Amino acid sequence: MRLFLAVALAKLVRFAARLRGGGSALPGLVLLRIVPDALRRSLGSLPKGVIFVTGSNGKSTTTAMLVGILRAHGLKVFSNPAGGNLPQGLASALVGQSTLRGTVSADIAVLEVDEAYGPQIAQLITPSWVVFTNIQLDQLNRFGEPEAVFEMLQTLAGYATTGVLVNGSDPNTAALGVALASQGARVEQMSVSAEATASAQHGLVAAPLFFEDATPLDMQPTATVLRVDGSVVELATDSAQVSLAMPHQGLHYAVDAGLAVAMARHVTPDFSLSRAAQALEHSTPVYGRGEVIRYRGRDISLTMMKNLPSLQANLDSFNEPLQHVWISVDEGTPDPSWIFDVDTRAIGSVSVVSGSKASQWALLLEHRGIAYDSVVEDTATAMNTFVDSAQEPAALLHAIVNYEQMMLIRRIAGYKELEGAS
Amino acid sequence: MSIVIARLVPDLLGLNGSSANAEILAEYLRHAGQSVDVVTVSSPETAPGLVDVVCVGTGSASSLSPAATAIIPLARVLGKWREAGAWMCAIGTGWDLLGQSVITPAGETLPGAGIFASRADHRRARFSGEVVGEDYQGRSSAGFVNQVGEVVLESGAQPLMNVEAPGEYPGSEGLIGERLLATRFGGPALALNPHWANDIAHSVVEEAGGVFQRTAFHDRVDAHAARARDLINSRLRASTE
Repeated sequence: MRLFLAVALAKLVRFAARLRGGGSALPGLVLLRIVPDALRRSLGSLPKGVIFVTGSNGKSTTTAMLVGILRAHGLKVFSNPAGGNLPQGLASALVGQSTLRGTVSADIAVLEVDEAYGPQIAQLITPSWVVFTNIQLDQLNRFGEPEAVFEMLQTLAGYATTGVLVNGSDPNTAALGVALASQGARVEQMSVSAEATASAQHGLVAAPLFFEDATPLDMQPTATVLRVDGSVVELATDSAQVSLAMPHQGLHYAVDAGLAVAMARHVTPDFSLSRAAQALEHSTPVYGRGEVIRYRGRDISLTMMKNLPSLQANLDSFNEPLQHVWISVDEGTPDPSWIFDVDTRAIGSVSVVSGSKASQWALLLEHRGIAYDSVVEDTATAMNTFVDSAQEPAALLHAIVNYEQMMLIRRIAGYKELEGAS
Repeated sequence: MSIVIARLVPDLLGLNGSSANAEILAEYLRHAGQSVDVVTVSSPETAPGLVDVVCVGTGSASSLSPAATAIIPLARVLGKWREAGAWMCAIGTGWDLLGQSVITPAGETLPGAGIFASRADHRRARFSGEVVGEDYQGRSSAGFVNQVGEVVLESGAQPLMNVEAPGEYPGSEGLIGERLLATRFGGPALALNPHWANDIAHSVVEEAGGVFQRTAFHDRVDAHAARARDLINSRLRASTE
């Protein structure tokens, strides 16, 4: 009865929040305040369990790809929309997808989970599997040291009732896998061939290994990314091999696909690599990641600058240096010092730099000798300056933005839906 | 003849943009008409005979011990360069290791290279946030500190700047001395504070008998950096009101 009332109230809050055009986390907060164990009560007995996907980068895309593959195999999947990876975001997804009684019609749940909140979320809903995408240099102002993330993930792994899947090509998740296996945990890995890694100028942009004398993971990979050529990816499992055309090009997308395939292989008895490949080929970009938005008749591709590895991986995926780029960064990136570590050769010229961190980006451009037209801190003004100064009418425009500016830019362009809104 | 900037063990001490200070200083000098070489130095065997500036960045917790292992054999070379007039510009953990000693979070004392009159203690909590103040010449200075522990200056050593905000940060920051500059400001401290790059650059050029030719690049860099510092100042003041 209490769950019923809480879900009903949370759904009402969700409806009201949506009318106002915001508040995707609020319904979840309401639900968890009234019924703290709502996630366990609704998702705890799904027949195929709960999979967590976590790590520094690739969480949203890997989650979306895994959901697509599982659905292509006929499974009903509960998932949280990209970015809603904190407890309240997960609970909001539950409010959106459950009945008034709090029941969810699903065989399995695939949840993107924030790396710092992982252990806390695992106390709300126990994962059967945890997928670790990578541990990279990310949000040092938040985590202090990348080593802290390793410890968080190690703690989270202890909650997995069946096993963990690690990206064996990331030195730190591989080391995590070795540590967990030595403690008796079931550890599976996805690997990336040297040839595929070499397809990107900076490879996997892995963080340095935080430990000395790491022993290599010795289990057979469940899936391997064999080759990457633009958007064409060759994947293999122990019994099959497939070549597919991904909607996006870049090694990092191929790695996410490899992880999704490997995880699906373990939870789908009738797993078919060709069916998985079809699902991957038809996957759509996750909100704001490589998304193309339209503004005043121009198509603008949004490239996320979340952290050094993600920006470098995104820049590496372009075949030619980008010209006439718009860069927009604000307080969502409290310390943008790391931009000085980025290989910026993929940025040929810049149209306008905006956001409250525009001056810090302009300093980088000056020291790298990259031409830029103007610095305009106000994002809306910069957006018009950017579009007005575009030369070729039909050419795709490129914007490099942090998460918060991406949200703002989408709103300015008239895109109403919020990330994390289900 | 080129000005030589040595970038010290950037693999271990180059976190979060901090190794870019060598590149920033080099560009500052090149735009002033100077020829500059940036060389990476990771061991005494690869060290050039003399250099004009040594830049060293910061590192993560796990890099402290290996970085100390890499720096100690370089102490003699660093001393020789210093005696010959080289500037030392050190950031975060690099400063700690070029000081007198570092106490690790576990309480072990690591010897430093003895260049800076300071001692670091990594047993104290981390500070992560923006910091503003006025430097030893009364110039507005700012940066982002993300460092564990504290650094204590030895008697007679001069702080680089007085800190105005935030209130929870110690009242002084960094160290300035005869051809010595150290700060806990992470990342590209010299880009955000080009007056420090200017101090080093002028000193090096004059020492070499050259002429520093100021150009529009220096004006633009000054303007962008001033704006970035103003915004940091505004954010910190807004957060305390």
